[in-house]
Amino acid sequence: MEWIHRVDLGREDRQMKRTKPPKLAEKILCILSFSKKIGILGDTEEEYRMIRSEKGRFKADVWYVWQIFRPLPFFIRSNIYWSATMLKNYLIIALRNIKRNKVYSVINMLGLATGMACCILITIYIQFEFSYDRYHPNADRIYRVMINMKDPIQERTQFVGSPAGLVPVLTENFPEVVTAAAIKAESSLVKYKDIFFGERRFYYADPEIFKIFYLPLVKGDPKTALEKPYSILISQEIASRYFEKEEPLGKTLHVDNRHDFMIAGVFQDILENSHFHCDFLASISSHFQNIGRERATGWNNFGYKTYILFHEMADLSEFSRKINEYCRKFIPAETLQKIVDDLWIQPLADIHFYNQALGELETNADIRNIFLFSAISFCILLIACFNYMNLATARSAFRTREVGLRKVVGAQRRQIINQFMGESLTTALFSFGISLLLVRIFLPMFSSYINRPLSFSQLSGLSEVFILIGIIVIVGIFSGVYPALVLSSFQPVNIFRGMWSKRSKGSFYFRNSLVVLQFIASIILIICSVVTYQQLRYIRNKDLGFNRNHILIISGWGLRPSFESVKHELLQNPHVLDITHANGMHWNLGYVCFCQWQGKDEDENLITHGISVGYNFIDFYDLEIVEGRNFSREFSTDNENAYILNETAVRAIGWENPLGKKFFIDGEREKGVVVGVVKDFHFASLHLAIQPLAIDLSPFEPFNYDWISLKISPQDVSDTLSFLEKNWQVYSPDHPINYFFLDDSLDRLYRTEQRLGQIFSRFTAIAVFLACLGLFGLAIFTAEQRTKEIGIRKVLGASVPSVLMLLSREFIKWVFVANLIAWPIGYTIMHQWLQSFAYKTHIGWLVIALAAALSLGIALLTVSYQAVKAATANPADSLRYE
Amino acid sequence: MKELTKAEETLLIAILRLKDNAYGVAIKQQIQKATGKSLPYGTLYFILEQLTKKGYVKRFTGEPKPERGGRSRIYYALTSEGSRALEHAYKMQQKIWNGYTELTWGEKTGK
Repeated sequence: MEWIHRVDLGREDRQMKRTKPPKLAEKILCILSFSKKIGILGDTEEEYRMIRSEKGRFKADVWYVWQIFRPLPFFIRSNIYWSATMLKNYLIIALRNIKRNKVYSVINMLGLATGMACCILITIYIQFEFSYDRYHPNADRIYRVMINMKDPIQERTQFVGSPAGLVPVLTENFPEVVTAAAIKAESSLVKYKDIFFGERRFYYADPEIFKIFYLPLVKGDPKTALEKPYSILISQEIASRYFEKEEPLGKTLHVDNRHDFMIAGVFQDILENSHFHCDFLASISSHFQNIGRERATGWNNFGYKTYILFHEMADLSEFSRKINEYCRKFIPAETLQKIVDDLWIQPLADIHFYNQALGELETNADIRNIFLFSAISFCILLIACFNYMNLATARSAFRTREVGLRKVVGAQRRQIINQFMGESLTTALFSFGISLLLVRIFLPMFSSYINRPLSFSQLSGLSEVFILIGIIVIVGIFSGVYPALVLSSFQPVNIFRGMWSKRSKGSFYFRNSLVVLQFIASIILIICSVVTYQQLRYIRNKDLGFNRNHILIISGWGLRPSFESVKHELLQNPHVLDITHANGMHWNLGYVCFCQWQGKDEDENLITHGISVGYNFIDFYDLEIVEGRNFSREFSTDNENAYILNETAVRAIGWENPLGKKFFIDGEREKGVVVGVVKDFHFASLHLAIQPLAIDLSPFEPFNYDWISLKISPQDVSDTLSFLEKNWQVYSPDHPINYFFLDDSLDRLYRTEQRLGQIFSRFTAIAVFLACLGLFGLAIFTAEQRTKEIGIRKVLGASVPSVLMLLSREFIKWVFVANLIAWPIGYTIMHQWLQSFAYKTHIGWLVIALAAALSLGIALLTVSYQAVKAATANPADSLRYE
Repeated sequence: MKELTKAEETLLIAILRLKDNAYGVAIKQQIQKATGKSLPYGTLYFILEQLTKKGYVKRFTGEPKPERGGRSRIYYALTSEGSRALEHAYKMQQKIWNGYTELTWGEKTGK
């Protein structure tokens, strides 16, 4: 080890070995000695031996340790004393400079504050996202069971689910499991007396759930609450909604018009940062009684979310292996063959960031969004720092005398660097104050925008404070380094001779390249914004292949009269133009299934979407039949075995003449025949290419998730709506009307993209603003630099426009260069992003031209003020000898 | 000419006196003998570094010695700059303190 610094003499006396100084003390002394190790350690050791031979070991050891501490006060004093004195001076000068150059300081601080504010907002957001599910006491030992599927459905291969029979098996046969519990989510209709709501956050759960998750009960006993069938717990919010001041305990809730549940307790509303939220928690034994099945035999239905709490030392990979082996014995072979590949366990902390699995209880965040936000805010901070660097060096001309003087009276370069770093740190500190104000103002907006409850108080944690201090320090140092280096390099001789060489070529190019970088970033963001906007507009206006305007979708759940009579009655209203029904479209993709067809090989498989519709479905939506015929009442068997496929399905199967061929969906029917082929239409999101679709005719069933589509006239929509509401109270008295507009729900499919588009445009505005600040500052500087030159030119007869051209030419050139660099980068980024859509716009010349024009226009505008001022200045003033 | 601090002065004189034997332990003992102050090695070397930076002393590395745990001794010697600085300091001292004994004589004897 280097610390001993010894030369091996080959023979160390035994006496020398025995009389070594205390090791720990020696090590500490070594560290404290920095570069003077050999001298100090050697001398101290030498004297140690002398003292030891005179006064004995103990006294020598004490002396040695004393040697470590003695010089410390001196060091501290000698280092800090002068620093402290100078610090005061630096501070005064820094403040004075800020006050003197108000405009420039404000520009700087505003820029830095914007960058810092973005960073702080992102920090708050990230901190909240990472706090999801962390409040459970054993959060790092909780896992969820997941499944990998064989064939991708909707292009996702992972599924949140496990068989019903899994939980009882786990605690018995797997020692590494402390406990396990399953949740089944089932939207249900809940009624208390005459208050009823369709509740979507209705879960069934095992009583062990309380041992795994932190779910405090305000009323009731967690140990017994979920044991008996038909007992239920409600959240505080539900308690106030249904019961107001009444005592909920012991009351009965009527669920789905079929079962009665007794309220056994009230639990605290689940915090926002949890991956699941429930309003009702019923005992899972009730669920199994409802469906009339024994839990132990439930190995084919994967609709249950199983959570496991492991022991501390559990071997998880071993567990995965064992559980897969075990389950294969119970899961029916066909399921294993066609659907399920294997099981795996997912840690609780990952759930929130992972949105690629089917069957999530709620939509989670996407970790890519977090990266995106971080990257954007980092870019903005970078731009702001570049601004500071640019402006500081541009103004350096005004500090030359001060620097020269300081150097003459004995400042070393190091000290001057420290001084200017201190100035930038001070600016950073003030900017930080402003940024906190900005954050205060914009936090509510940001928070409601990304739909999360963010609060200022999230910044009070220890690690957050560190991050904030870190931001100030890093910003201050990073922005301050370059100006400090430049300013400290001035030679006093040159300064007082009146000509300072700023190494003009080199530093000028550097500063220009900073502005170019800012513009590149801004142009890229402009391109991103424009393309996003175009894509969204394209999606919104794209012909989906069916009629989507003025269509209302109403849930047909619980409709009492027959569909035909309802249809007849509603059509009496002149505003209701047409009615049909279907069990879903893009908002609720009917079901996904395997199918059988004529000429199918044994191991060929096709997954199609299937919807069951009413007679006039095809006509209602203006779909086009390209082969064969529509469903018709003329053919009585249509009701039982007719299918209409879309073109993609026919292509996938590979038929030349699909009409009349046998086809049916597994598990639905036993036989079927293709009677028609419909032209492909986008029944799902434009993210995906059109999938195979099989449409069959089915009578309307009030309890089968059938949805009624109404075409209404565009006038008097609110009248029509109230008419429908009134009627629905008669048709379906037990169930409140549930409706939405078709184009609203289509829009909602693309909400993520809309958000993205808005984010891009906002941040583009900020980035452009900052780039303009930088350019503005640079323009001021250049104009001032060239006042003499301009004065002379004017005297020699140059006109104002020609001077303007002269001044702007430089900048135009740089903006042009920035554009050239930014175009390919922006194009690549957006091209990547567009890949996530199966149907997309092209990035056309319009985008590029727009970006170029915009950047040029902004640049010229920024520069123009200074340019005009300089060009119209009186040459007499600028050439006057002061 | 930059003025010497008191500590620097003391050190330079000690090095002067020790001639060829001016290394850590010896300098420390010399100062102890002359001023009665026990200067820790940290301080000592700090000042020696400053003197070296100013160019008043030169540094030599000696032979490794077993009683130093195998490390070598580092010797310091005055440079010509250093001697000039000392000379200057001595002259300044003389000028300032000239007639000190006479000044205090009166007070000591009460006249």
